[in-house]
Amino acid sequence: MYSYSDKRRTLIKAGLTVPLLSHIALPAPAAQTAEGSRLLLPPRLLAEARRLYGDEADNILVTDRLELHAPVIAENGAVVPVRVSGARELVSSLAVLIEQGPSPLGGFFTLYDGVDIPVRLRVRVPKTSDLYLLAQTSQGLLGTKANVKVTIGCGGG
Amino acid sequence: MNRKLPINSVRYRIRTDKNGVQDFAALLLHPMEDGRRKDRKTGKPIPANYIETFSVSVDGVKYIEVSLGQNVSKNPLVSFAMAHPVTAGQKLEISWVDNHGMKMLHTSVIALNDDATFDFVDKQYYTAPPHKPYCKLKLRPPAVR
Repeated sequence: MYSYSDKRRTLIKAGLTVPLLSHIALPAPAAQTAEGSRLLLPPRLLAEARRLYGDEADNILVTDRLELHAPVIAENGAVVPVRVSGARELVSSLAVLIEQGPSPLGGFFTLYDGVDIPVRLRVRVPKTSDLYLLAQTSQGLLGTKANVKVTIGCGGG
Repeated sequence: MNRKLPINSVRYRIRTDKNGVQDFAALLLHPMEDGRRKDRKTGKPIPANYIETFSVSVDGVKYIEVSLGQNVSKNPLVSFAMAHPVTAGQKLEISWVDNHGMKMLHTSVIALNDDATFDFVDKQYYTAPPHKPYCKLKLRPPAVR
């Protein structure tokens, strides 16, 4: 039996949740996500990217041919496994940048002929942070990002 | 792994998956202090001590060069796939330099481990005193199982 008042409750609830949800799930800016658009780096990471790649760092294109795999939730920030997979034929070097790290650079890989992707590394992420992957390729500088939520801090400080 | 891990040594493993792709993994046994931790007993900061560059070459041909830093976890694991299969008996060189200028060079004869277990082939290791300016060491080939 579905009484009138029950339905009314549900409708009111539904009416309440809709504006709330729209408030929380803000649409991500298109420049950060769409394939082929520019990847925007935070200022600290942009300085590091400029140090590694020079002026090219001002024009990083978002790619989906390379992927940065990191745990969505890391229980221990001291050991966070990171894996880079994707199209090897493009890539000559890879950089993993960590937004909240003591220094921005996680690892910088120079890949020679004998090496194939995936590449793995264990990094330290002190607190919930975005990780960025930059790749020097024949098509310029490509990048993606991933977010790691750290629930227990690592032994920093 | 409950074995006590001596610092400044390397364990590596080359595993072949069912598609014939070889996966190389190196576990570098290093404290990787980022310089921000404090000694719990004395309260003094522990000085930074981390690997800066790490490289792997096979038969004298460089395969990969990695810049590491303060953001890399203790006992870092670096792993990649081999583009062309390596064969047993080739000479593998793993070297690193840390921020104190200590250089390490590990040489070993490649042995392939087709087991699916995460077991490092090379169980021989060498412990060098920390911050020695240069240390060259040779690992014995792993025992046949």
